Amino acid sequence: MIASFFRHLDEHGVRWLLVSGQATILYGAATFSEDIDLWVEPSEANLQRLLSALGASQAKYYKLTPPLTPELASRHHGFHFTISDPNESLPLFLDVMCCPPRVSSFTDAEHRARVFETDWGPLPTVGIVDLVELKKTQRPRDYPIIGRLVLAYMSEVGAHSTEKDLAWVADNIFSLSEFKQLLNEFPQVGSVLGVRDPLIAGAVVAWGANGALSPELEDQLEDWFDARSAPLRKADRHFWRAVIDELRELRAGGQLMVQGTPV
Amino acid sequence: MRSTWDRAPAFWQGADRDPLEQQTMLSPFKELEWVELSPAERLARAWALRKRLTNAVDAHDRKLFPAP
Repeated sequence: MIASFFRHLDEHGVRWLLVSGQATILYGAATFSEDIDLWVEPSEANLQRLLSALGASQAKYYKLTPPLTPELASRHHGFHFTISDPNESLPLFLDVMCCPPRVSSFTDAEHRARVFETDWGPLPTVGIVDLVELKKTQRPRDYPIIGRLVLAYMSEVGAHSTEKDLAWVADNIFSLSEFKQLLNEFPQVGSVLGVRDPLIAGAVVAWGANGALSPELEDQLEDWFDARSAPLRKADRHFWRAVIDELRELRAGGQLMVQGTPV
Repeated sequence: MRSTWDRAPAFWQGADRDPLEQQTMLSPFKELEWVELSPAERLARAWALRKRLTNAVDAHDRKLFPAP
């Protein structure tokens, strides 16, 4: 069913990228996601192609889904679908965004994307740097995943990392476990991390001397990392308020698609 | 050459995971084998695990439409 769906996307010429949970699994930064999230190029022609592909896949509208128009897509709405398979007890949950927050244009992201060969066919997948931005959500559990994506990135650039790479890495560590792993695996990041804050500088020195951190220092670092992600989580909450408010208006006006209706 | 990233990330121990994730922390995801898989193999195994979730619909809805 899933391979067939992705084949329909390609047959209809849809421009799309795999994002979120399944993308983090491909990069090795997560172990599970129950749905499929796509970033779809937001032009009217591409959205029409997407609707055709969804129709060919016998997709149905799911909850709280507005009409898939360029206008609503540009205002950051998500569009939710299910695709059923008689041989599967669970439907496929498909969540589509066209203008996700914190990232530049689809075309820019497409240039940075990577294609993974999988059992579902070739999957164009958003690049790690864009994926990290997409994961800066209001959910605390996304921040360790960001750290694992950073570690995956460093594993790829390895000894060829530039100052720019190291600065990006230093800016995108939000959890103690991944911080320690980073210092252990890529000690060259320590000098860049150290200039971020005196506490981090002390931790880098302690790690370099002992290969370990005291429990007191770990507690302080946990608080520091929590505080580091707090503004990002708050910004994400604020971002979605306007979208949710408009969704409420659409629902009150009877303008949402009816759940279960075929696309 | 494989880095330590490809060996034993601490997060696979699952101590910091919520109940939903712990429900999915089933073999082979606790094992080193996970990191040695190709991306395609990881995707296939992770998706297969989905069938073992008893509350996939709830899990999906809770993430997508969190309670205010």
